[in-house]
Amino acid sequence: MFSQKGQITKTRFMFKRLISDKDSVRIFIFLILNIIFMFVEFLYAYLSNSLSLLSDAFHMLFDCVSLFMGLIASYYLKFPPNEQFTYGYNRVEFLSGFGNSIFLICVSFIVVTEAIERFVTVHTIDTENLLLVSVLGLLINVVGIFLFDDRGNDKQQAVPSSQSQNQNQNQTKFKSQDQSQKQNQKQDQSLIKNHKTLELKANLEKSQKKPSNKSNNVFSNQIATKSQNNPIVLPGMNGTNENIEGIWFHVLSDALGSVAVVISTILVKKYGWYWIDPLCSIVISCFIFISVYPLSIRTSKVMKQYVPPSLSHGFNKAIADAKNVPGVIDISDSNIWVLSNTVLIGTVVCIVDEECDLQLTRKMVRSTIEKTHYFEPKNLTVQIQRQSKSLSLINDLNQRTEFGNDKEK
Amino acid sequence: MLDDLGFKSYETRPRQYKNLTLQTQISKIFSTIMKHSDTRRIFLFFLINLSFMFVEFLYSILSDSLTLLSDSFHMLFDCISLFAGLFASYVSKLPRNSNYTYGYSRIEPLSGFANSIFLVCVGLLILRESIERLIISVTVKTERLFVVSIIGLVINLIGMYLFRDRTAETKKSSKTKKNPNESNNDVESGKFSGDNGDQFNKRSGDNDSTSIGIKNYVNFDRHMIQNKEIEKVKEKNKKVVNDNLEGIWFHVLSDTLGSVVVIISTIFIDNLQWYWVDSFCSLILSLVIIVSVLPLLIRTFRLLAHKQDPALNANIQNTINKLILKYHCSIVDYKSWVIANNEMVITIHLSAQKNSKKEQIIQLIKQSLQNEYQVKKENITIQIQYFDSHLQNLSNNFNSTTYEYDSNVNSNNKINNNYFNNKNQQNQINSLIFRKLPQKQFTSIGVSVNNHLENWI
Repeated sequence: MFSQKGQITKTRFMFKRLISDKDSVRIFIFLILNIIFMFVEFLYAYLSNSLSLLSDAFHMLFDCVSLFMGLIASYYLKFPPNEQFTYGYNRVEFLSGFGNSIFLICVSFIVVTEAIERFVTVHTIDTENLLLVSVLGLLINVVGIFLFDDRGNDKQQAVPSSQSQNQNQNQTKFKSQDQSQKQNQKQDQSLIKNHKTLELKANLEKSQKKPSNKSNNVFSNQIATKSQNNPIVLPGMNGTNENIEGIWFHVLSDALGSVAVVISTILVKKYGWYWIDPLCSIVISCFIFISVYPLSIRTSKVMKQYVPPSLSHGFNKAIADAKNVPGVIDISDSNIWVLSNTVLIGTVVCIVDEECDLQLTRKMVRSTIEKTHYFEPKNLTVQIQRQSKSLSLINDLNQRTEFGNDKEK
Repeated sequence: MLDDLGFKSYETRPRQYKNLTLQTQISKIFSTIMKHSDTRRIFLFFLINLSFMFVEFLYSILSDSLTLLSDSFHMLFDCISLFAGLFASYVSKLPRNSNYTYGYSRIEPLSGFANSIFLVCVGLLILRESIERLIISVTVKTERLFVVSIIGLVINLIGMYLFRDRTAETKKSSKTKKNPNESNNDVESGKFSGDNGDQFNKRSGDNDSTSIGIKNYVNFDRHMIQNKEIEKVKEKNKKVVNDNLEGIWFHVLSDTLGSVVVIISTIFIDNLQWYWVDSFCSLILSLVIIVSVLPLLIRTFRLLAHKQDPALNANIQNTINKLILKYHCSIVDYKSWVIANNEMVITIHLSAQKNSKKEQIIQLIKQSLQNEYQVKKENITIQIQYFDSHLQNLSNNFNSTTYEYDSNVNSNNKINNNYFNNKNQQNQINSLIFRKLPQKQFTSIGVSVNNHLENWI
């Protein structure tokens, strides 16, 4: 009795959590639609004994599997950090995007092989049933395309100061996304041409930090504070949610597949060109492969702890500056990596003169490195060590433990 | 996007063999492939598969059979996946970069993940075909399938033999960026790193130990719970599995099982004409593939998503807390993650009192973690901060809070290259930074006086 109650409350809780999040609601609705349609198709195929409908139903099964994967990922994304996941669940998003992209690449390969086989052997197609079903599938997938068209784009891009100052004067809140994207591209080009990252970032310091609105139109006006609500996207990284990108590509591929089926059935009816079907499927699988490949590369890079060159360049410069801090002899080890599109993590090991105050040097080193502006203070660890000329410290330890001296506690 | 195109202004990643001719590049790549056993085996198998694929393709065109053509396309996909595996294992040997500061070793579990997803896909496909054939019975043609499947079986058995040993290579801890402070300790602690079993036996025979104190402290606990520790040692001495090779192994396994299924079904069809055997066996095959690949998928997923064993984390935190109790410190923040092959990276934020010996703490923690949990010293970074109320006046110059994480990056970033606005403040702070610490020459009274003075400043 009690166990059942616990399960009911658990499911209710999970359901509420699903509904509260924008992304997971969309995926959930679409998954339910797909499951219903899949069962309908299975029944219809069984009753009418057609192979093509069965294969199409299995195709929908694949979709449901990938949608389920995306749903789980979006559900777990918002969890806070744990004992198990000390950095949080950010990576799950990338993994699901990667998985979806590989799924799609595999599907494209398989479709190509089947199409080549179909060139040789001619399959008879039940045109009537298939047309109806494929049109319905197309409708559903088109609905899905418009559902996920946003692609989780609720993050703000970081912007250099010159643009932001002008916009602060104008206070135009309702800029279109295209303009902001073009500006971002221009900014990227200007960044790369001028080699002036640190100057721009110093200018960023001057600009005021107002609380930013959640609407997507307030794009490059203001820089967000470092809160969870409005995270800043790192330069060189993608601004969209990778999970939803993967699902969007999946839905797109389905839509294109059903378009191909519709076209081929119509042409087969009219002219009897049986070779159109495999040709369309080959063309569309090539298109899917080309469109999905960047997503797989992007997510795989993040998995490998990649740092985009602009950030690593800035970091190296910051470390070179940190070596000029009074008291610092050398920075022996520095590591930087990207956790997700918005979070940077770094570690630095500093060697410091013997006669220095550790805390002050630590603070100064931290401030120089945080100049890159994309470090939250929690994510940067700076280890400071005094230079050991000989094994003096080690000998001290030995002496103390051997003779039981506890003086210098 | 623009970064991916490789604009040279930010090109800090050194292309491996940029300025050499193509011949020398290829020869160098070839030599590195031949050096390591992983890449050697994958390359061999790739060549075998490629050659048989071409042979089969030609034969299918000459003899005009569809089954041979489809089989050659399957071999093509195997070759592609093998090439991806080869690429992954080659790239994992590359040295560190400014863009990949921990090296490329994480590409191996990534390729294992990709392979497992691919195999799940293939399994679902076979499931689909088998169910279709069960519901709507289709007659299978068995012309020349027998010979082809036997050849495929032989090739895949060769592959199974090649990949029977899927352990990861043990890297010697040699970093390109060396830490001169820690190299001294490494020389001495090198004796402890591999000899976990001997710690039970060795007592005071070690003269040059940085960690005699630690050892006594640690062994006290160990004597209490000896059996569990022995089990732990046995676990640590287990070999680590290379996920890339695992993925290829499962691929090869699925191919062998597929050819076995084809052989069985052809035997049954030729002799007894039971057409359902084919679909039934392929259904079982698909289930076997999916079930066998799931552990790899889950394991690589957890690694790539930074999931750890909470018991291990709790143990590590307990050991650190025990060591730190003496010095009245506590852990403020603990984070860890795993690079491939059980190589852990730990970052710790400690809060300490002002007069505690920070180097001792750092070295104690690092040594104990290396000895017990085999975490490399270079992968541990410890930040020590302390609550200093007496520096609050000065902190206003920095415009930062003294406690916790130097938050309000705003205020910190007002520190420009000069770091200070006034020269007076600069002089004050310079004098503070370069003040002298109490030395051994002082007596105990002198030490206490100096400490009081520090409190006043």
